[in-house]
Parts: sequence; structure tokens; C-alpha cells
Amino acid sequence: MSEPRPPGIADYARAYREGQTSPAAAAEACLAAIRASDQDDPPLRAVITILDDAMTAAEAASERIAAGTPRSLLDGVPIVVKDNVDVAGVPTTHGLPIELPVPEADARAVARLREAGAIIVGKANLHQLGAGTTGINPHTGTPRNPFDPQRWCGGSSSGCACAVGSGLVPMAVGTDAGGSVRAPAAFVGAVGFKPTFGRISRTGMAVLCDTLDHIGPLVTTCADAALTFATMAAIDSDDDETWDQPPLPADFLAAAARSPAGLRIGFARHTLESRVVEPEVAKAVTDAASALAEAGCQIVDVTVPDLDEARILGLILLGAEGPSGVEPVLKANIGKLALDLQVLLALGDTVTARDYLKAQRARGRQCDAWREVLSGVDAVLMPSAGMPAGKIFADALTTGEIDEVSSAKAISCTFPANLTGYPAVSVPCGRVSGLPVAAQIVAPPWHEARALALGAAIERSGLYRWQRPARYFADRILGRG
Amino acid sequence: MRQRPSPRIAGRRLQVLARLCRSPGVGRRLSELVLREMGLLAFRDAPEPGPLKAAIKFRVKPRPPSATETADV
Repeated sequence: MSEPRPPGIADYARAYREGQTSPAAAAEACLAAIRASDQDDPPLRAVITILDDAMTAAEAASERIAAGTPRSLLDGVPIVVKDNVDVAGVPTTHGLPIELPVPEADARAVARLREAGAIIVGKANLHQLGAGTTGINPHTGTPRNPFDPQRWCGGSSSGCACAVGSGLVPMAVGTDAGGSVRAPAAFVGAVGFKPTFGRISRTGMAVLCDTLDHIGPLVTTCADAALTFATMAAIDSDDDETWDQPPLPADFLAAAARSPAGLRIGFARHTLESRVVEPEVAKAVTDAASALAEAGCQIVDVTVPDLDEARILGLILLGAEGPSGVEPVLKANIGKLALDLQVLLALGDTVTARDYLKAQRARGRQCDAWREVLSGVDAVLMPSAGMPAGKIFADALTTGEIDEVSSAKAISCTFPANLTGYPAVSVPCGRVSGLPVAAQIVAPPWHEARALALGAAIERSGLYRWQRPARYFADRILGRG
Repeated sequence: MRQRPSPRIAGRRLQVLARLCRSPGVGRRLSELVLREMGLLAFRDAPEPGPLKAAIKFRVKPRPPSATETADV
């Protein structure tokens, strides 16, 4: 008997192919569900801007599918895009209460998804400026965790996680400078994938930190992560970071689903003893190691560089590089920003050039150490977020909040892959008090298929048993109920 | 042993902190206190191992080696 699981992209494609519903009907239901989700108490707040003109594209997709000529498996599938990534003609708000220029073109990654037939139904909520780990946003509202509306979805891709976790869409385009795709995915039981630095063009993305930021998908399965990643990944003449990438292998999707039997996995067991990883999360990640062993992997212990240092380096780089593109606008509107962002910007001002250069040197040493670790194993297993989703406190809703302990637990395990630029996937591997928790696989550069194949093996193990959240929308969008 | 205050700052306390951070002089000292609490100043003060490289020479981006390999499993 198959386990219940959240519908993914293949389920949408099948529903269209079998005439269960059509892209136009699904888009209409999706737009209605997004609106309905914000009428609940508390409102879900996954989406900032609803894109009603999605119906035009959805109707065209319906015609293609009816004619038997879909553009791809993604044709007609509704998605949302984090609101720091451009969609043509739609304000990119960054979650800020500030009027900003309206982009004329899609971000390159978005354009590629659109060419594949994906239907963009909304711009997803986020922690203001993408600078926070809870998603609490006093201006645009705080996305609620589908498994407990009194808890947050994490950040900064909070709306993306909320939308995928609650079944509003099967895929969201997120961004990740320190774990902002992987940690929110972990908090809602989704898969979050950050590819190798330079795989997906950042043209049209509001880059928070030039040397750390990535675009990546939040989805319901590793297979969907592979599909959407492969759709977005490409060399872009306007983004020189993409120029050095090797081509994806022709059998990339098959490779990402292949058995990982025989691979040698470095288990960073020592990270489970860290103050930033709660014991119940540690147990779930240990179970994931056992599952990979049962799948035929060889598990060996490895030691990865210090997580606290990685987080501190990341924060210094974020503080120094942080708001460079939009600093004058932020300074001119400082009083309108969430108070936690105001404080973070003030902290960033105190980071000196010497701090920055020292942090980059230390980053180089961390990169050397990771390269050494991955020279002896095929991938590393460690926690994703070190805790389940945290509580939303009433006083934070109107001001934002700063909580160093919670932030450290949320992103300390994810920051290393931003410092190195290595691909990393967060995969659900259990529950703590009913809330999802996740393991993370980090692979060598360009070996996205290997990371996703290992993630898929953890999925197949059944360690994470999905339960339909109280507020869940995919069934009605797919015409199932 | 003295109990550490709650690390969570929100509401009224965050309003005060944000106002002080905007104030010249006070803001800088306060920011440094927060940075110290977050461990960033300990990093600033820590010695570096080995000889320092010239700042201009190191690569600031995590660009992996220009691979010709393919991403096989």
C-alpha cells in the first residue's frame, strides 16, 4: 500500500492528461484558494500579489494539453515566485512597504519556467528584504505553518514554504543566501534544493548577498526538485557566474532518481551534538543515516568545519554585502521597515572592511576543509534546520523579532553550503511533536543529481509520513474534492 | 548563577533597540554590543592561523573549479 503523499508536478500533469481537470480550471481554483486562505483566521499569508492574468496563460496551456502538445511536464502547473525575484510587469516588493520600480522582464529562471509552461499565479511572501529566519513580516503579514498556524514557516522564503506546504502550488521559486530555501522547506515538510553556485542565473533576482545567494526550488519531492532545477539551470550571458558550469547530463532526471547503493556517505555525526541541533532532530537525522545504509550506502563519520563559525562568517558577509543594491532606498525609508530589519541594517553598518576580508579568508579555509571532506566521500549527511518550526509570539507580529538562539538553530547547518557554493538538498525525515524535521545532503560541486538521488532514497524510506494539514488546498485545485 | 535574559527581542524592547540603533554614537556602541552577543566581535578579535594572504588576491566567490566532469550519480 502506498503512503499518502502531497501531490506533486507529475500528479498535476497526470490530472491534465487524464482529463480530471485542466490548467485553466486548476489555475482558477488555485487563485480562489489563495484568496480563501487569506480569509481564514489567522490568514495564511502565503502570497503578497495574486496574478489574475495567470488565467490567460492557463487557458493557452489547456489548449496545448487538449491538443496533445504540452510543452513539458510543467505545462499548466501553477507556481509562485518569491517576491525578490522579478516577474514582468509585477512589483518586486521584497516584502517591504516601499514603492520600487516595476520590472519589465521576468528573471531568467522565471522565464525558463514560463517557457516550459508553468503558470505563475502569485508573488510569494518573504521576510522583509529576505533578511530573517522566521518570515515574520509586520507589513505583508506572517505566513502560517500549515501544520500549526501558531507557528511560522521559517525564512526568508516563508511564503514559498507556506504555499507548497499547504498545497496551494506544487512548486515555488525561492532564494537562499544562508538556508532560506532549505530551512523553510524543512519546517513545512517540503523539499528545498540549493544547487551549485552558478548553476541558475540570478539575472532579475534581488541579490541580498552577492557571494552567498542562490535561486532554488521548494517542491514536494526530490523528483520535482530535479525537474524544476533542470528547467531553471542554464548559462546566461548576463550572469558570468553561470559561465563555468558543465552541462547537465542528458540522463539527469534518471540519474537523480537512481539508487544510491554503493555511495560512500560522510555522516557529520558530531553536528548532532551541537547547541544548534535539538536532540529530536538529531535522532531523526540519525534515522536518515540508517535509511541510507539500508539503501546500500556505506556510512562513515566525517568532521565538517565548525557550524558556529560558518554562521558568523555568513552573517558578516551578509552584513557587509547585504543591501548594497538598494541601500539608498532603504536609508530613505528606514522608519517604514520592520524593526528587526532596522536593527540588522544598523548592525551591518558596523561591519568593517577588515571584518569582511578576514571573513572571506576564514571562508576560504572552510571551503578547503569541505573540499578535503568531500574528497573522501561522495556526499555529506547532516541536519537541515536544527529545530522544528518555532512559535509566533503576538508581540512579534507588529514589530518583527530578533532571536539569536532560534536563528542559530534555523540556519547554522545550512550556511556552510552557501559559503562553499556546494549543492545541498533538505529532505523531510521525521516529525517532532507533529512538526516536520529534515536531513540535508551536501554534494560536491555540480553533482546535483547525486544529492537528489540520496534525497530520494530518504523519501523512499518512509521516515517522513505526510499527514494532510488542516488547511490544505491541493485536492480541490486538482478537482479531487 | 545569573540567569541569562531571554534572547528573544520583540515588541517594546525591539522598538527601543531600533530607536537607539538609529541614534548616532549610541547606535554604534549598541550595535557592537549586539554583535558581541552574536559572537561576531569574538571573531573580529580572534587571531588568524598562518600567514595572512594579501586581501586583493583571494577569491571572494565560492566558484567551484571549472569542471569538465558531468554531474553523474
